[in-house]
Amino acid sequence: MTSISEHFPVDASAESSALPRDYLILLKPRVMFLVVFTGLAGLIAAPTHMHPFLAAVAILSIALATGAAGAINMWYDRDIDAIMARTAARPIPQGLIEPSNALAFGVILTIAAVCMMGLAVNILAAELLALASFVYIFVYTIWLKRRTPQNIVIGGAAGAFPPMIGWAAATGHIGLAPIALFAITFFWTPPHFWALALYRCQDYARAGVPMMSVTAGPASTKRQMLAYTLLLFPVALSPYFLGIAGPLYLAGSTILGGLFILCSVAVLRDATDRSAKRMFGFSILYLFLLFFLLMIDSGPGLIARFAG
Amino acid sequence: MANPRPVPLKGEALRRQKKRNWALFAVLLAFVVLIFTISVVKMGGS
Repeated sequence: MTSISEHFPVDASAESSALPRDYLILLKPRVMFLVVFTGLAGLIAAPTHMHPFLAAVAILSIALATGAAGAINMWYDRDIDAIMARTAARPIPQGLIEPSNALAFGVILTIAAVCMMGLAVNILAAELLALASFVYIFVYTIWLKRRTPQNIVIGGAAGAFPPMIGWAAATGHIGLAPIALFAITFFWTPPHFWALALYRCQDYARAGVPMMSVTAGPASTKRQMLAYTLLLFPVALSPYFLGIAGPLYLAGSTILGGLFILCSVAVLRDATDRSAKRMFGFSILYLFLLFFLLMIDSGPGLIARFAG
Repeated sequence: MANPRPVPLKGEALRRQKKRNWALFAVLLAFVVLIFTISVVKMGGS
């Protein structure tokens, strides 16, 4: 007896070679991890109690919507992904997944994630999740990425939504505190992304993507990176002054902010790519540690929860 | 217009399609369990 799959193959070339792992790669798991982590921090820092299972559903919804936006981004950018060394190994340029299947995968997951957030958690969190997906797909990927060097400044808002979504999932409303959490990731994004764009400048130039390092040159990009890093410093302290984080967060945030500024100054003085690579790596550690500190030192944070 | 004759998959391509089918089955099963649990938690008034 033969199975149905033996008689109704989807496609003889691309689709027949895709593995489940390739679909997982479409979700940009490394980006997803950091985004989900900041969403979890927003949820834990919110001054309320949420049913643990519904909190897990909220985080799952954020993860799925983030991954889905990544899949749609890979579908839209498949032409430039094939040109750039950093992205040429992705499943679509490799011919492992049909572009239309990647798009369908992303759209279905987005709808499922937003509906699940709305039905299981609350409508505000679902609306913010839909807005974040809209900003990432339509504003960043389709509208800005290939048109302006400010692409990641404005489009970076998409990646800044998760802590606010986590907060909205827990409380059902937003105020100054979640806006401050949004602002942290928003001001962190330009120095983070431009550090990468500095040492991948040729890659972006070849693909015709007008990153700041391509259009304005490295010197101007480095000055702007420092400006955003300086702006980020007080913004990152604001959770303490807004009363949602304690002195441990304040001390950690001050040290991390100081180190981030030092990284940026090193990039400004370094004519090679070495400092930019180091700053890119540190920027990820910075955001991870900052939101980790927020998790453990916020009012109802992990320390308070476990200490009773 | 007549439909093209289906081409049977063989070897590696067949093995990969079976893996995709099992993955989809696992995802659908997880989704059903998730919706069931959400329903129970929501009806519990938590």
